[in-house]
Amino acid sequence: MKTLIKFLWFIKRGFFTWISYKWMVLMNFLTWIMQVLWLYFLGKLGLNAVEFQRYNVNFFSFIIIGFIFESFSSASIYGFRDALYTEQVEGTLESALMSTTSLSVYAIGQGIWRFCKAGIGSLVIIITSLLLGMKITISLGNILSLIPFFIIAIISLMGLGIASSGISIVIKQGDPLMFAITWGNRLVTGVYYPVSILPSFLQMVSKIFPLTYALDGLRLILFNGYTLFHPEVFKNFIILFLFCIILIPLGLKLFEWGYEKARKEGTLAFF
Amino acid sequence: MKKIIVREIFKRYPNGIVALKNISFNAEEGQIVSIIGPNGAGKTTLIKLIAGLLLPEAGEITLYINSQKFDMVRENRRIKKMIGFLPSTERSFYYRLTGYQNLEFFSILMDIDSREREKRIKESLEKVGFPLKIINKLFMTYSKGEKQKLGLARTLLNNPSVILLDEPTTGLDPLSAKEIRELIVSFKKGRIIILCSHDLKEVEEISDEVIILHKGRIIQKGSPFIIKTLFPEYNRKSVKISFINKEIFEKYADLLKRKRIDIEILVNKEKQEITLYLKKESLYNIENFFSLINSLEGISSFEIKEMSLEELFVKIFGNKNENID
Repeated sequence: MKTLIKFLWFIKRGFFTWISYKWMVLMNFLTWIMQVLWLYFLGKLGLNAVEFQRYNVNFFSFIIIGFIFESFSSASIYGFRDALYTEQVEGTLESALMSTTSLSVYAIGQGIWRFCKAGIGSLVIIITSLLLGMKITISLGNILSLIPFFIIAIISLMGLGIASSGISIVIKQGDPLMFAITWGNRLVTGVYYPVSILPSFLQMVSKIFPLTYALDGLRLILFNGYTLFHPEVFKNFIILFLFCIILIPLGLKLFEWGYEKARKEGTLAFF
Repeated sequence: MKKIIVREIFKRYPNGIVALKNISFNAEEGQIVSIIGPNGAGKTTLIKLIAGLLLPEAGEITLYINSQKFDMVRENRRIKKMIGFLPSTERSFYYRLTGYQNLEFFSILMDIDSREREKRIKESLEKVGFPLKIINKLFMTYSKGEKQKLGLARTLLNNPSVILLDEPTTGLDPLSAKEIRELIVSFKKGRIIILCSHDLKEVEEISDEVIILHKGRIIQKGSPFIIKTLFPEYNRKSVKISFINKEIFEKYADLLKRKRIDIEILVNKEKQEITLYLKKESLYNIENFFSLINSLEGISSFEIKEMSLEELFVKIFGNKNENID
């Protein structure tokens, strides 16, 4: 309960900071809408004629889901690191680390607002996309399936982000893990095109990224109307669950390693 | 009874610089222990080691509270609830949150019970005399003094046994600095206060124990009296006077000699300058001196200077800037 309240406070802190920049809020909303329009017109160029057979949708619908979930993926990769960077630069990190809050709660709390912001953005993108003709299948079954699947997908991405911020505490800029995740996600996980069009060795590489399973599962639920108990969705769910079990403790361990190393080297407040 | 024992602390940074060497001292309940030294002496490193934000390569920092013993290096998480820390930067708060939201957020991080939170925040704000009418304004709108008061209020939130303050009055105007100093003194009952400072006068005024740090080593420790012994010149101001020509310079040099003013005078014939060293408190002398200057003509400029801590250290310990071996 205490931890949950802390997370809520991290969200509250992020939200109040966000809305204190009125123009930034406006620009964020406009950016989300513009992004949809950009993809919509790109689809009109002829890409919409391509049928994405696995999900029975056109380019616009396919890419919107990829786009939305990539924003969550970015929040997981950059959210923790950026929040930590801000705290280091602004000088609040040491004061926060002087509190009794555990490192793991602090590490997760740091990035949690970014997920919430990505959620707000996703809502705006989905509403705009639906108005522009994106087709999704809605039933009680797939909505109920979407929630746990979405949560497990987000948590699986968080582990990588926390690990990356632990590395960033030590090496400051140029984190190789962040580079690998960012470009791996964009290139091989099916954000902008189906994994099936990739050469076979890249299809093999795509299997080590949780985003591959998250995107496939979400599209199957939203476009095909599958529930969590459909074998293909369930398989993705289990794989994501395994990613969580491995990546979250690993991420927290790396964060702790980064913190202890920075304490030893005296570079905790530097970036 | 509360006590901190620092023993043989050694800290070397990865770039090879030895920040602290063989640092040992004790701090007891009801005491203000001040660490003073010029820039780069190792003050902040030492206070951060005590706070657990840095790890020493060797040495021990032990906190005793009655019969309980805590290893401040290894039991870092456990001792955090007993420590209040004020970093040297005023940017240790969230600028886009209000003062109250900031304290609320930090009290949540400190695991202060929700039923007590409001009361603790209110009490802390009252203790530091923070103007409550501005508590719901954004932190970024506060003056330096108000920011520092809020920082002190945060250090009190968890009712700590140990308060660590890193240059608490740096950058404040004399009035605000005085107010902060008075507050620090008011906190010491039942607590151990360790502070870093750059200001000899401040240290002399509020400390019970003084540790003088230079290039990572303790060069002297003891009662605040050691400041006067070690730095007899810190209490003086120098007034350097230049003249429009040689004749007038010589006239004044002669006049000052004949007047037998009870102050040290340095006559630089080459530069045609006269420097007078005045005790800060000897206002009578200064006033006499200024009336003397006003009554005469031919002075091109005069400059009043106070010796900085750096200058005092250079004067006493030399100008070498090598690392400690």
